[in-house]
This record gives sequence, C-alpha cells and structure tokens, in this order.
Amino acid sequence: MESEEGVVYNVVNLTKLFPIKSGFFASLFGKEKNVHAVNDVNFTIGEGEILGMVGESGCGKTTCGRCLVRLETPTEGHMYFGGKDIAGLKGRELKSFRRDVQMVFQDPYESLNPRFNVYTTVSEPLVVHGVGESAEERDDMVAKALEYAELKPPEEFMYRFPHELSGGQRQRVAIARTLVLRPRFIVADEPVSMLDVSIRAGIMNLMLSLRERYKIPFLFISHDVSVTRYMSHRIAVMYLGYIVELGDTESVIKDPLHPYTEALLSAVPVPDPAMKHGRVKIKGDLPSPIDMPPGCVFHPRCLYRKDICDKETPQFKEARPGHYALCHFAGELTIQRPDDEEIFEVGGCEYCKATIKKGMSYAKCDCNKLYHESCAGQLDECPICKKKLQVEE
Amino acid sequence: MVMLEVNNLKTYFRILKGTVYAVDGVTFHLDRGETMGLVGESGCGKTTTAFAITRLLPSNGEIVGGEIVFDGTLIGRADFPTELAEVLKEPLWLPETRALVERKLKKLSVPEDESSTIESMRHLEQESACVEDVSAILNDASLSEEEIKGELAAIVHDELSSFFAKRRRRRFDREVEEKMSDIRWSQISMIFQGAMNAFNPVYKVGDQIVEALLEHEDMTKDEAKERVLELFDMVGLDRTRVSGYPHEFSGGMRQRAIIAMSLACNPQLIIADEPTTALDVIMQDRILGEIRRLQRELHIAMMIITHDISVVAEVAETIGIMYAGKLFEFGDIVSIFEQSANPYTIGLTGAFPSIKGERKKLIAIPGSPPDLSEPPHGCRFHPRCKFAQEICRREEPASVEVAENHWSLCHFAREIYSGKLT
Repeated sequence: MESEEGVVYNVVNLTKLFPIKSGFFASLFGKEKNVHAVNDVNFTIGEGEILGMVGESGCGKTTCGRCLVRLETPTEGHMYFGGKDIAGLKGRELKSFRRDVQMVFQDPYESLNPRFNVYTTVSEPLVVHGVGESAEERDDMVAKALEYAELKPPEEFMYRFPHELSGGQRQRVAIARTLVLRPRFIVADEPVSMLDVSIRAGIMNLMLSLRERYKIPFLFISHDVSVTRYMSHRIAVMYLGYIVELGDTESVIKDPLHPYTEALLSAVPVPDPAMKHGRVKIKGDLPSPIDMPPGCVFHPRCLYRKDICDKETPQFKEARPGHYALCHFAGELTIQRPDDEEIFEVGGCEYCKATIKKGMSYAKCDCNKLYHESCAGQLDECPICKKKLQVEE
Repeated sequence: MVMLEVNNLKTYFRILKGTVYAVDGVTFHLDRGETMGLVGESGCGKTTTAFAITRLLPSNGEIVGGEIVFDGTLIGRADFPTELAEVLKEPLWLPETRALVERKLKKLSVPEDESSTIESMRHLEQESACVEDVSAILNDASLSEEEIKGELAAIVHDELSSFFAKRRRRRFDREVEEKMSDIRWSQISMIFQGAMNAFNPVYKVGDQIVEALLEHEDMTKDEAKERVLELFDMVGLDRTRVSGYPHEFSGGMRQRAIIAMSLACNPQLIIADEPTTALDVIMQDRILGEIRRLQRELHIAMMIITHDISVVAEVAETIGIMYAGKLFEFGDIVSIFEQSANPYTIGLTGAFPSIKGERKKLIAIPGSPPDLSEPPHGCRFHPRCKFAQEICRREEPASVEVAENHWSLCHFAREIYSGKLT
C-alpha cells in the first residue's frame, strides 16, 4: 500500500479540519466546531501524471493541495511520497521534503515579491536549501530554469522586476522558481485563472511540455472544468471536502457517475453558440462545511436521492475500472442526461413565451422574432412588424 | 429596430504620462430585445465603453469623438472643440479637420427638436458658432497651412481653457448630467462589475431597491415596496428576504438581487458588466438562465460585458470582440463563431478549451496586449498577428462588412472570411 510501482504520491484518508474559535463554555462542554475542509480523501498520483482537481469555491481543493506540499499539517491520514509517510514530518526532514515538492500560486501579481528582481526570486529557493557550490553554478541553474519556463533569452529577464513583466511572464517566473530545485512533484493552484485568455493557453502548454519532457507529476487545481480537461490525465471532483468522483478525464467528462459531476458538467458554458446543451438542475446552495449533512453529503441537493442516502455514508467505490465515485448507486444510476441534440433550443416564442425546441415547426418573421406554429396561426401577422408570418421547418 | 447606436466612439483618459486611448473608434448597434456580448481581455476598453454610454466616466476620462444614440435621442458625444483638438494632433490634420467641419455643418444646420438630444439648445447654438468660425478659417485662401493650424489651435485653446469657457462648460455638463440621471436606471440600467459588493452593507437589500424606485419613479413608498416584492418573485428570490442584509445573502442571491434592482424601473436596456465572473459554474449557469428568461419575457435589450467567450456563446445573439480599444469583429454570433473574419477572434477561439467535442491542442496568441497609452502603429494587433504584413504595420485597417451583419476590422478580412488565408 505504502509504495506501489510508478506511484509518486499516495494519499490515504487525508482529513483536514480547521477548528472554529468558540467561547469558553462551549470549549468546556466539548462543543467545539470544525470546518471540514478535507474529508477522508484517497488518491494516488503516478509518475509523470497530471491529476486535475475541480470543484466550486470552498470545496477544499486548495486546502488539499496545501496539505500535499505540507503548508498545512493534515489532521488525520497518511501521505506517502516516494514510499515515505510525510504527513507528520517536522523540522529538518520537512525542509528536505519541501525541496522535492513545489507550488505555483494563483495570482502572479501577488505571489512575486515586487522588490525582488527575477534573478533573486528564482535563486531564492537555491539559497534557502543551500544548493549550488558557487555563484556561477547558481547563475547557471537560474538561467536554465528560466529557459525551461520559456523566458528566452534568460539574460534579458534576469534583472527585471515584476512590474516590468506582463501577467503571463510573471506566471512563467513563478514556474521557473518552482523548477529551479528540480522538484519531483508540483502543485499548481489555479495557475491560469488570473490570466487573460490569449495568454492562458501559453502557460497551459508550457506546463504540459514540462510534464512531457521532465516527467514531473502535477496536481492541477482549478474551478474551470474545461481548463482541467485540457490539462489532466485524470480528474478528481471535489464537493464539500470529499472527492466525489475520480477517474480518467474523458471517462469523467463524457460519462460521469456521480450526480454532482453531472450537474457541474452541464453548467459549464460551451464556447459554441450552435451547441446549446441540456441542463441538469440541482437544488439549493452549497451546505456549510461546519455542519455537514448526515449520510451522503450531496443528498440534500441530489435528484436521485433515496432513503438510504440521508442515513448512510456511501463508500468510495470503483464502479468502473479506474473510475471511482462516492455514491450508493454509482454505476447503477441511469443518469437522465438530456441529449444535447434533443433539447437544442431555437429560441423563445414571442407570443406564449415558451421555448421553441429544435424539431418543432415555428415561424420566423422579418424582425427576427419567433413564434410557435400554433401561435402563428392565431396571430396571422407579427404584432411588432405587422408582416404576415410564414411557418418554416 | 435599432435601440442603441454607437458611432465611432472614442474615449480617452488623461493621465500624467499622456493619454490612454482606451476606446478608439468603436461602432456597433443593438436592437430592441436583443442580447449583445462584448468580449475582450482585461484592459481592452469594454468597461470604458459601457461607462461612456451611461456617462459614468471618471473625471479624467472624456468622450473625444463619436456619438451615442439611445432610442432616437443623442445621449453622448464629443463636443466640437475637444474633437477638433484631437484631430489637430493627427499627421493628416487638414483633410480630417475639413471632414469634421463638413460633418458638423450638416448636422447643425438642421434645426433639431428638443427630444432628439439631451443637450440644451443654447449649447448647440454656441457650438455651431464655433464651427462656423473654424469653417471660415479653413476657407480663407490667404492663409498658409501653418497659419490655419495656428488659428485653429488658438480657437481650441479659447474654447477649452479660458476661464469663461470653462465655466460655461461646467454648466452644460451639469445640465447634461441632470437629464442623464433621468435616463439612467429608468431606461438604461447597469449591473456593475463585482456586483457582489454593490450593495451597501448597512442597509437592508429591499430598502436599497425601494430607494432607487423612489428616486426614479413617481410612486409612494408602499407602492415601491410592493414592486420590490414583485421583482423578488421575478428573479426567483424568496419574498421574506427583502428585509435581509447583504451579508445574509449568498453570492448567487446577491447577484439575483442586483438583477432585481436593475429591472426595478422597467429599463429598455441593461448593461451587465461581468455579471457572473465571481460566481461558481453552477450559480453562473442559473443566473444566465435567469437573465435569458427575464429578457425574453420582458423584451429588454441587453449588453453583456465579459472576458469569457463561452458565457457569451450561451446567451447572446450578437457579439462584439474588442482588442486594445477597438472593436475587431462585430455581428451575428453564429456567423462569427463558424466563419470568423478576424485573426484575433480566430486566436481567441483557438485558445479556449471546451468540455465538448474532441480535446484539441490550444494555440496561444504570442506576446501580450499592448499598453494603451502607446498603442502600436497601424493595426493594433499586428505585433501578435500571424497574418501580419507590411500594410498592417503602416496603416490602420477599416471595418469591412464581410457578410450581412458581420463586420471585421482587418486588412485581410475578406480573404480570411473566404478561407483564402489560413
């Protein structure tokens, strides 16, 4: 269990609770409350693999990432990195572990020290860990790291300050800073969400090529499912501190097992106006991570809820090879996913305000207003432009 | 039927370093009941366009060219001396000045009736006198080019910087502002960026909407309260929430309340600036669905400003793609997505991942957007464009109508549209 062939990181029952400050009496009577940020999470990351982690804000994905680089100490559970449990490391051992794992943060405008130039920023990890014999050797390592991050030629960037760089270049500097120590594992926490679309693709391609070339495994955290799909081999979907689904990217995207994943995917907008897709409605809002719902955490919002769901906590089971879900009915549930084509919406009828779906016959008048066939029959002419209506299709 | 018409709008910001050409010649129109998406990267002038339309520009920003016509009424334009001052800075100032004066003479010679503009007749008279002065100087054959420029510069200085002129302009600005505040909210309402924080935290949400209603509509307090309840029903909020404070609302609920507020006075146009940016996907989807439903039921025109092209693809019928202060492509959304005629749009759609269809390699646009205080010469996209040629470096492209209701700002728009250039 501790170390499998080809597995870099093995996370077992990872739990992180944040205690809430409560009053003296409450603490006396043991009524202290916790924020359940990460609950009993299990996953592995293989060599050269990118694991994507998606979820809404407040679902615990960042906390999970921070635990993996040990910026947070987990409350419970084990994390085997290269066969060694690093969950409880302290002092010198922790420091040497941190040399192997690095993190890229969300906002390159905040994560770089404005008073450090690029050279100082990138060489700082070397200084902290005492890497490199001489100044020349360090210079060389910094130049190489900048080159890996596609900041070429490195001499041109080395003595610039963050304010002289664009957003994309800053994020490249942040990536160079993680690469300089030649880490064995990188956590990228929303590395592209603050960047503009035209620059975003460049950073994503850079990370993909780094993985390709140096086989560095990544944990890629993002709230954007489309971005995560592009980046990762496998996707973990988090909801309220639990991983509710884990599997191969295409398998999760095309054929989700968990009702939450299904709702999440159907809400993602598609950059194609011709593809109006079916929507799965879910009820209510995200419950508070302080008072967790009993049984399955998703049951208050689930469309397929049965009696067992609010009583028993489901198992994280492998419903299909390599595809896990935290649901009592994983794999058994026929997810009533409306077919994309079937519910293609043409538009709204001007007269009765109901939607016109593809395949229905409707009338379109010159002012681009639409009417159902039946409504058009009643109206005969368009009330707006006063022209006779012709039924098409 | 055209509801909002923006013609060659130019909005600049004056800063210590010089001028930021935030919006530089944007032309588009919006029909009644239509949804338009305005897409672009940060700092490309989307929000400035919206602020120019609602006349909410900060004090260092001004409209220096173009016109904004809303429902047949001129609600925004540059006044003549400001426009002239900008034209004089151009290398080809003489023909441009002539063209400007000709345009102005044509407009001002027709006596306009009160309802076609929000400006006072006195202001217009004042201005037409100034136009005639300039026209006289231009037609004076005895003057050399240098002298003409000198004279014009003197007029501009007089009109813009002298004590009396300044006082006069302040008065006109006040008059315009008064009229504009009648239009704002009751006819054009706006959902601001970061709507999550748009409510005052120390007042109840319902009361804030009541306040807006009392300010803009002729109704009693009880009527206004009744209307707020109606609005809450309309956007799908619980009626009991009217007496809640903003912090008791979740992000999605606050967004709904903001939408309710923008609908309060039955506007004909809503400008929504990044309405869903701070929301999670599921909430975003719900809000977009809500917006679409309301718009269909109430027949409101809508302008959605966002950086997310997929959001626009979900809700809009027309799309405008902005880059570096210019509208690079505008028109019917399906036409633009399926057969774009602009290299920037192609780059943008190629850089956007999707969860549908095959996983294809994304292609980044090299470089980064320009600094708008020193935009590149010629086409503003040429340093990043894969089709760029000599002409792109030299000349600014003009807007080309490649198909019905599809405009593109590119020297090679037709070639790209027809697929000759790939």
